[in-house]
Amino acid sequence: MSDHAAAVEITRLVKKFGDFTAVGGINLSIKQGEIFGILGPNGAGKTTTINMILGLLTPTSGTILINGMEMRRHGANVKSLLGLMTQETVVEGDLTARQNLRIFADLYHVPKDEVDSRIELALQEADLVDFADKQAGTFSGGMQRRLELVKSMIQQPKILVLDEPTTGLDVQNRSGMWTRIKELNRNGVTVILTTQYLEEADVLCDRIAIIDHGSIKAIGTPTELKRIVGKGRILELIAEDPAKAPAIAALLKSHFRLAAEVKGDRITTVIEENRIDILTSITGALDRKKLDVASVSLHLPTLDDVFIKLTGAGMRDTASNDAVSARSNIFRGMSGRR
Amino acid sequence: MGLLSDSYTLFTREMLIFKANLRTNIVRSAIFPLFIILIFGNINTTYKNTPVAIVNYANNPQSLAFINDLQINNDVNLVTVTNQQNALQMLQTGQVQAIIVILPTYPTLSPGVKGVQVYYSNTQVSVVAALLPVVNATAVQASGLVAPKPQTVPVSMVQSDAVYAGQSSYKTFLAAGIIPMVVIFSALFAGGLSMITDRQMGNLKAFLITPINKNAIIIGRVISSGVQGAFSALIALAIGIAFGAGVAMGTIGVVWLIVVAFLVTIGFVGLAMIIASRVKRVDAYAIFSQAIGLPLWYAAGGITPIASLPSWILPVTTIDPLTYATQITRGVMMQGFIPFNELVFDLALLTGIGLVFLFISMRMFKSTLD
Repeated sequence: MSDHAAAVEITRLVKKFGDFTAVGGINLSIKQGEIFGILGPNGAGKTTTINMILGLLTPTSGTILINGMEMRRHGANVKSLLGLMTQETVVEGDLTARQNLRIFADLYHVPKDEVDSRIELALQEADLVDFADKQAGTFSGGMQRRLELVKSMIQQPKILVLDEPTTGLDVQNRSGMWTRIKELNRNGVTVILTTQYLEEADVLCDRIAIIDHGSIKAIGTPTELKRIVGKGRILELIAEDPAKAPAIAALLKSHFRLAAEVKGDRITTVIEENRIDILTSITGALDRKKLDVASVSLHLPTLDDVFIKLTGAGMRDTASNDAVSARSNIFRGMSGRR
Repeated sequence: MGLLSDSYTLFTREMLIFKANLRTNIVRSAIFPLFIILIFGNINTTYKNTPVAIVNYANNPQSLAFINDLQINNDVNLVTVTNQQNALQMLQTGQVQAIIVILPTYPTLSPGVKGVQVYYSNTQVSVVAALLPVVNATAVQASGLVAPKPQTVPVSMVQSDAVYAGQSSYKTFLAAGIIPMVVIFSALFAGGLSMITDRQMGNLKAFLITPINKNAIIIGRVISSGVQGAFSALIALAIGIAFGAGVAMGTIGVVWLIVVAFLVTIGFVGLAMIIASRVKRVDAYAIFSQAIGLPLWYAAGGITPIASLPSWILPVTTIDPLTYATQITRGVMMQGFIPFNELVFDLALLTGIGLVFLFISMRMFKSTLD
């Protein structure tokens, strides 16, 4: 249980269900104190891997070391190091916030003399002090989610596993959740995160593993992963008048030899890395032709592009679009609050 | 920090949830005994609303007085029919539940010459049981005879059932039979259903990643279900007593009922969890538990004496744990005593079945995790 050991060290991990190989020989090392994202389409083996890390499933072969300890030999010690928050809000609606917390404090064998102070602390963190003795079932979705997060932290885990933590959250609570995750991470908690929101992984994760069909396709920082797609930049224009979008695309083609794609009022094209200066010429040309644009943006390829390239299939479109708009709203919301 | 304290924590959780839903749980435990005792418990006193055919072959002042007496003074719902053949047909089709035939020999009444003949449908045995004495007494009175000794009164058919005899009433018989049923339904719902919802909601996963002993999840649930089962039994008993049932054994009898309820629950929660570990859907589970609970209750003689059950069901009765639970509740509530060897046998059997189910459910719970 040394501090130099990786938080999670996975070696040749295999899990078979009958003939079906859910996880086929994964090697993975998650460092202490990082936020590590696991991305993959449905059925890629994310949840199976997570369940094996948590000790819910026994691996067919291979080893998982948590802080250098193996689950099978050090079950109780390892389990107290781990915390889990799932996409479902797992609070018992019939019980009060305090009762919910106390049960898990007891199940995690929190020392008796610490239980009360930890519960108070958790209630404060979740901003639920005034609702401590109200049934959790009467709470709003966001309150339940906050209760869930502090409940899964009651044992003060060193490694927190978040299985799609922001699914089903409204924008405000999602931003709050991201802030919480970053805060926990700053306090030294290693975070393992699965998500279907690529943008979320982009914002939060230090490193990301993309897995598909039970094996790892790529590991790296979000920026490294995006390099896989190419060295270009994505230029995105939004036309003031959607009817003029094709004209803008035509102008890009004729003047700058850029193949542009039009979707409604949105025009996207790829600019090579060494031609960034082209941007000013483009805006100048648009201005001269009186083709007004509402927004111009230049950015690196998104994880979406990486994902499609690596797995051959996109995440669900709705999910990623959702995340994009969520992010822009969050930043607005955050600045508004401060 | 071992199995016991983990089990206790989960026991506490179940009990807190039970307490949070106390009203629902009371209603659930009360509704069956309430309706069953109200409806079935009063069956033997409701002849007043039952249509009865009357055929008057005597047609003399005494016979008319007899009919009048039945109708006016005893509220028997009489339907006048001209001949016995038609009346029998009506009985067959269920239009009437009994036929009173006043023979031409009436008002002569003696064991040799029966002045009144009563035919009845066996489906309404308890109605007729109440009706017969009334017909008897009225016939004697209207004939102008001085009432003879009971055994010389010419009753055409006498239905007697040892179960209803003695100090006890059919209501007590029913209440004693309902207690095991309320208990198994409490067990099938509390144990299995909550297991399925816990799995669906992710609570089970949340428990499994804590450093507790996995068996604590089963044990905590089983014990809390046992307490809830005993609670249900007490509610059923309270309703039974409110409607006129009694506990012949007194306070110690109530303690015995709690013990039996607890043991039955443990066995059936084990069974419930065996089903719940295979049936993953709440609606399918509900059908399963009904399909298991109700037949076992009937087969155990919960509502009718075992003696009057059809013979093909008797093998089920023999292997049905509820049979032995019902034997104790009936002993406690109706007879006021249980023969010692019978008690030992019944309790050992219930405990044994409970432990076997518990053991299997633990094994199956572990095997479903992978």
